[in-house]
Amino acid sequence: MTLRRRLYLMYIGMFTLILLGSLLSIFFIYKEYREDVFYELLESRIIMTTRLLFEVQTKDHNLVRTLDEKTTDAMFDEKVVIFNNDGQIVYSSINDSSISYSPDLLRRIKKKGRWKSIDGDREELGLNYRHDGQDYVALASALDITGLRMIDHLATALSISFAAGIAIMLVSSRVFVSRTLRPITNLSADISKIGPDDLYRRLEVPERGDEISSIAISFNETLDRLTAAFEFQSNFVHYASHELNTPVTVVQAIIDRIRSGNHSVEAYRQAMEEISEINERLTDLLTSLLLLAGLDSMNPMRSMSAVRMDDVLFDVAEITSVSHPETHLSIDLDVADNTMFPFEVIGISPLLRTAMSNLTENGTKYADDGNVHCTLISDRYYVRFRIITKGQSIPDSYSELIFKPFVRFAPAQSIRGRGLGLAIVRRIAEVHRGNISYSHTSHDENIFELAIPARQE
Amino acid sequence: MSKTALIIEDETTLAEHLRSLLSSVGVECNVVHDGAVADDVTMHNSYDIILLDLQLPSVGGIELCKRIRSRDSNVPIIVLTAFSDLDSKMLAFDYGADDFISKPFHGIELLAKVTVFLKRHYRQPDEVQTVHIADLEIDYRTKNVIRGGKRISLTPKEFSLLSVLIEQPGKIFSKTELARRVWNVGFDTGTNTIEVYVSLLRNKIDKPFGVKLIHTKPGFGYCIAEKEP
Repeated sequence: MTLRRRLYLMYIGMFTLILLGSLLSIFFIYKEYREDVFYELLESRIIMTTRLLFEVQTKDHNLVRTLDEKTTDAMFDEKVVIFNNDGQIVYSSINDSSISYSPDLLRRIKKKGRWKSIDGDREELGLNYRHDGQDYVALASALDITGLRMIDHLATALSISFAAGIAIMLVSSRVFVSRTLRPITNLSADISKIGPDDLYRRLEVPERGDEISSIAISFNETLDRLTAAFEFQSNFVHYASHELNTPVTVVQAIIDRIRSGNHSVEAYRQAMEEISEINERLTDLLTSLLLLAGLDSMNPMRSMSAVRMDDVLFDVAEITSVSHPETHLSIDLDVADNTMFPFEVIGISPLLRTAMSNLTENGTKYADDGNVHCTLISDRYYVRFRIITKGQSIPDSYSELIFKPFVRFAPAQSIRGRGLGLAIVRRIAEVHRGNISYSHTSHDENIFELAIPARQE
Repeated sequence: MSKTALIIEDETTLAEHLRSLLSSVGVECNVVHDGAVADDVTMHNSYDIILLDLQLPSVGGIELCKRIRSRDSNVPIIVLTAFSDLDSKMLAFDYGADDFISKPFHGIELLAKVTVFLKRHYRQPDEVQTVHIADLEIDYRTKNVIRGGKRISLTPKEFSLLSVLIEQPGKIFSKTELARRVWNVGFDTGTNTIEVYVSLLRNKIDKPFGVKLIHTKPGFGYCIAEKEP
């Protein structure tokens, strides 16, 4: 079902329910009111008759009947009957109407004090009346001709109003739904114009600042991210193929060179070393590329567990001290007072180890004086791993770019690496809802900080 | 006594390369190429480290990792894998692997990891299984620490720190000595690292129980004792 139809039906349904509910309420409230007023009249008639009979002490029942008939507020076809305690009629008004009663009904009225009923169009009221220690039961019955006629008129008027309301609503709902959906229809038409060859086209954002503007902004942002991902993919394949193909070509060149003619043992040994070095570079590149691809394709719902970052840091430091004995590595720990779980994060231990290892490895490569200082700071919200080294600072214009794959700051070109280490760290930080940043001080200190949200419960 | 390693790798050339690498640092190696054979071998022998390939005939690497870990909670297991997806590596971790190395790898990277794990892994002599001080008990076999009947969860470094302190109850250990014994001489742990770790250990060992066992001798170091020395 289309949104238009759904909105249309919803609008009709709601309006019909509200209109019907309102009209029925008016009808029933008025009907109730008429009944109450009519029963009050019947009650006053009974009270007046009983007062004439017992309090004025008249024995002339005909006089009472005459007074009953001549009263200005006489009701149509009314009948009043009064019974004594033995169920005998002590008074009955003159007319042809009759009230059906039984000894059982009289007993019930005596017991409850009040009884009312509707017999066809006639409304009946029974009251218990006590005079001089004697119980009397009075029954009154009459037709509310005027009231019932007014109810009929009201029902007709309300039915006409309902029909008119529905007719107006059917027309207005079409206009309302069309006007409401027009911006969405326009937006949909604009979106359908954006094809795979037109990824740089953006939607026009209405100035109204309403939900449609928000959708247009969100859609444009999604397009921005898609375009960036598309560009990244293109560049990634471009750079990756270059980085993979070049060393393979070089290896082939070395093999061709060795194959042509006779060479000394020293020449063969040198060729083997060249190939071995290129193979090591290829190994680095392949491992990093596969890890980066693995991070992108890993199951996002993968469960994480509590990880002590200090344990991971000591693992990394131990391995670094063995693989880079020339580097002087120092570690400092700090825990803020309000920390609930010192150094604990919710994460994936091997990935955090890779991230910390990459940062430490970078430190060993770029520290001018061979000193790599690691600090692990734990507070209530984050566990922050900082690597501080002395060396040439990265210009501010590069400080974000260095976290992109294959981007290397010019002075780093002479150092082995392919510009994937920091991209991997950033991706791992993202997987853990953390972040990685770079800053430097005026004393040529370069600081990389990996911040991972701390365990909260 | 030289260290021993079990290499479980179905690719014979790579297995021999691994044997040669580990032998170069004085590690005695046993090589098997089949998962079921490896399962049997680990059932009857103990090793200081196991290198485990994930893709194996008969019994897969993940299943084998699970079985070995159920029998020996201490032996370091390093997983070797050519799978590029992270999920299979993570699965190995879930089943008890300590680290992984992706193929292709550098020999130096592998040796660094093996050296670290071998240094860390210490097979406790059978006769020393538990140590007590006051109501504190350390079980070296299971690595369980219990105080007042309540089990306390410690990280490996916290456990090492407690183990060093409890070696000689009452003896004052300087920060330098603790750093050397618990951590590594290959890197510097600032003095605050020891302070932080003693504080973390106190929070677990002392704080929830009325009586203090870990004491500070200002200017000298720390000790563990029933009464303050």
